[in-house]
Amino acid sequence: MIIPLLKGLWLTLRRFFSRPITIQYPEEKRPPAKRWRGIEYFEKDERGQTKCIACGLCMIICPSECIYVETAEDEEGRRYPLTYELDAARCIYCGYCEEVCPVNAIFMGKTYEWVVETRKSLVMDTEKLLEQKAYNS
Amino acid sequence: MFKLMIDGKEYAARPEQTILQVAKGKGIYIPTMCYHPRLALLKTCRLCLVDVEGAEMPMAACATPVLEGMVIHTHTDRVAKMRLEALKFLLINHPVECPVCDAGGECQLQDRMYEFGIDHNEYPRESRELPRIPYGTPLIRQWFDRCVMCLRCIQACLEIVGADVLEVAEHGFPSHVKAARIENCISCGECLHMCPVGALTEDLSSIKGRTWQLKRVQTTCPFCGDGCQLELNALVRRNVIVKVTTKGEVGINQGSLCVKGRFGYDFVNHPDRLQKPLVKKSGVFDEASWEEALNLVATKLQEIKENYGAQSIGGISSSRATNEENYLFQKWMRACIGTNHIDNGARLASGSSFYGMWASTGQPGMTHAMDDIVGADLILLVGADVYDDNLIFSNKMREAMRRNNAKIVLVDPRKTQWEKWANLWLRPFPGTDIAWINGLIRLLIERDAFLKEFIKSKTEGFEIMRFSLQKFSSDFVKEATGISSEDLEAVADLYMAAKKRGIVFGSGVTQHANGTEIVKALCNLALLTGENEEEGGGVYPVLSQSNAQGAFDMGAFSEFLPGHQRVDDPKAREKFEEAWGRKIPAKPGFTYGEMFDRILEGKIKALYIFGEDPFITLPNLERLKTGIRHLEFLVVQDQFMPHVGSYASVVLPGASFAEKEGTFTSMERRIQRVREAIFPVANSKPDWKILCDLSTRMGYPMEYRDPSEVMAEISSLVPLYAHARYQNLEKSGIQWPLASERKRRFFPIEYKEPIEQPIEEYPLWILPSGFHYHYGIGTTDKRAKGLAKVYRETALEINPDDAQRAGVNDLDPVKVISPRGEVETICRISQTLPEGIAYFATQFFPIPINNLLIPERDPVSETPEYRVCIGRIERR
Repeated sequence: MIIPLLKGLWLTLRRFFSRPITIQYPEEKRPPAKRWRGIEYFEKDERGQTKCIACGLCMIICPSECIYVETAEDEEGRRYPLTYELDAARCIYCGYCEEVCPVNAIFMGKTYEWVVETRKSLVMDTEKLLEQKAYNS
Repeated sequence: MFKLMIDGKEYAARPEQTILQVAKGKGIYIPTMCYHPRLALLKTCRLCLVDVEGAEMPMAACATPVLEGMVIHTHTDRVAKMRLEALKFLLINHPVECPVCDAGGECQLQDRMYEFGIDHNEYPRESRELPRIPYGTPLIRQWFDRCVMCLRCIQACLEIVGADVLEVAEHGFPSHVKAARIENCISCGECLHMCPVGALTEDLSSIKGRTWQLKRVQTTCPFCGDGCQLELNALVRRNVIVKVTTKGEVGINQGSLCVKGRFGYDFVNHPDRLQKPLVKKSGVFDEASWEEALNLVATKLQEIKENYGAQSIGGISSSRATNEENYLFQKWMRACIGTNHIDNGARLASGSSFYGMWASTGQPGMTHAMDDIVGADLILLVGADVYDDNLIFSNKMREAMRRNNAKIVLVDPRKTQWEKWANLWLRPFPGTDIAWINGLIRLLIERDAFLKEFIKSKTEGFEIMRFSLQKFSSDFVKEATGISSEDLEAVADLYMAAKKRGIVFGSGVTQHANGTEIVKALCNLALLTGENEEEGGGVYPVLSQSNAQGAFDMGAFSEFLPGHQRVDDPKAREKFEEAWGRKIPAKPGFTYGEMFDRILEGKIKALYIFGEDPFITLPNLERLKTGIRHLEFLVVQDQFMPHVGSYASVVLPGASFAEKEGTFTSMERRIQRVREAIFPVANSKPDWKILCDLSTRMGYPMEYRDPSEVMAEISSLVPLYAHARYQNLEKSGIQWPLASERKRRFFPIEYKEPIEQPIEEYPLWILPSGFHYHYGIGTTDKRAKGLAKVYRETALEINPDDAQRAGVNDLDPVKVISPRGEVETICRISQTLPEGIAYFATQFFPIPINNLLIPERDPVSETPEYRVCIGRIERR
């Protein structure tokens, strides 16, 4: 009866001297898995603006209908999103938008920290999506 | 009928059909791309190949006529392969950039690629570097590298519109569509509509909605009397209209539009739109709530009614507002306020045609449908620039030329586009139409070219009319109008050689001080050979306002109740009194012009102006301004601040055609739906709602939930509109019927010399008129960005000799002086005008041309003399 108890204590004692496996979140962050799909980000073009041409394919393919795009054309005839809205609270992170994008402008990022005080701040626009790029390079 | 087999099934076909037409009719699918039912065969795409047994090679279905016993296979392996190759060849000229292309989602090439399972350019593309040459119009952008050279644009421009702008430049691989004759382009957008791919795109709105994202609402165009059907494409969240498209099969226009309809939509979202009700407090406008503004109007009108009587209140309705609104307006005026002083702008533009046609043919409207002109083999075009003002009707006339080789006789002092296609062009002096019409009638009677049986059984007054013609010999006609006897003889020859003669006339006839008489004279001519009857060629008054016919039908006229029932007819009045529950005054009210005369006399104390601007439309601006100060209370209800608005006590913001439900009645008497595409902008309200609210506040409740209930009431009271309930109007609208048992009447028409003849001091005839990019008085189209881009400056066009005499050069700033006033403009020298005649291409605003006009009115229709006055020009 004493033997199992000693076995247990031995294990405990052994762990005292091995390296801990707990991650001290939030001080310490766990890198996501390779195929993790976190919050989306926009790729930049050579001018530093979004690569998005506002074709609206992501909007139409999105199963949770969380993307809204308005298309506009600048003087040179180039298309850009006049409005791009992605409601991250509604997003189911399926990755269809990344897959359908014909110009590789939107990607599923790695960010998974998503705690905010208002729902509104969960609505991503072009600027916010471009900012997200910083966490994903 | 032939019998033939398609894919193992037997079908019957008419001999003139092609394989494609038979297959389409039977619902058998054959892929096409360059084929369009309205165009001649182009045979450029090679996609419609089918196998015909006995033929060595596959045949193009669009171009092969059917034969007895033909055996056709539409989907053999061989044709499938050939179609696929043909498509791959087309793609050599076409990058697959659908995501950035406007046509993406409604591109025929994209659809075929999807169908054939191609997702990339199989053959290597050679990119073509073409310098960016301007397209015919700045409103359309041409993408050379997307063009598949189907040539539909060229064919449409040449065939349907007749503008002839485009052609193929160069040969072989570098060949491309080029706008070779830019000066011909009228920006109608027919090419844009026809392009099966995205090689031509609209270059107007910077917001580009994707096809699947836009709310498409079919509605009726608000820009002229043609009543074209178009689709407004609205971006719902922004509440803006981003483009106008058309469906090929719907409406009189079959997909065609003019520049106004296709590119004039964006006035709807113009920042100048009235945002909130305005109330004048100590001389300045102050924004007010609807509650406050409506209460003020209601109490003030009540007050004036109690103090001076109901007859001191007048109302001007709008020929651009819907039928329902016109009905409500006159109901409110007659039943609630108790006055017959109601009128609208239709009187000014086309009043004469209503009164004249009514007296002669028994119906105040077009005797036929617009489509019937296609069946005519002679078209007499009098005083109407249909190419500029009613392009869709002009297209129909061109169809008549193509289909049955119709002869065209143009009567116009000015050279219009139709001169190019006319067999004969008569150039009478301005205002002398009656002389040549009577001369022609006399000539036809002399030659025995009239229907005796018809005249005897169905008409009256022929002998009196015939008697009155004695003095109109060819010499007299030559003297009065300047038309030589040979020309008149030639018209008579053409007239007699034809079987169906269509008579088309427009504002050049109706906007004269004897407009009604001219219309009656033209009707005499038509009655002579029964053209007004069903089997005849038709009499076509061309209307320039979207709902002129409707405003007339709805009784927004001083002497008519809805349905053309006279207000002094006790029986008609009784019916409406019973339905409305109030007494209606028996005496006809003041007309548009009269109302302003009475203001000066102090008989009208309050005026309600709805969607009109008398400061621009009536002659003698100074007099109007003095008059309007006599008013105690002026209310203006409009989309934009009109010029008269600054004198108003209250201004109420109404909604545009895109923001409300209703109906328009087109010039062919077709009642068509106007539908809501976006919400009323800012704080404006649909006009019918404003009228209902006002009436309710004044103690006469009008509680309609929506315009369909108004139309239900109209259809119960107006026999002509009996079937016009909304459920019947959904598809293509309905025409109100022509069933007059009354005998048609001939009228003896006296010729009077024009009111003014050029004298030494004023040696020129001045013909004021609108032009292609404009409509009405310009409150809406002035604000459309698209039209502003192609807007031609207001100018006085003048013959080179006259210019030399006056000492002016091309594009000189000049003063135009008439005995009544002067205006400033620029001068353009033009070969299109004969000596002694100047053409004032203006839209009245911003140049107050009404200062030049003769303050004379037609005694019957009260249409002012707009189309001619004398004057001279001076350099300034």
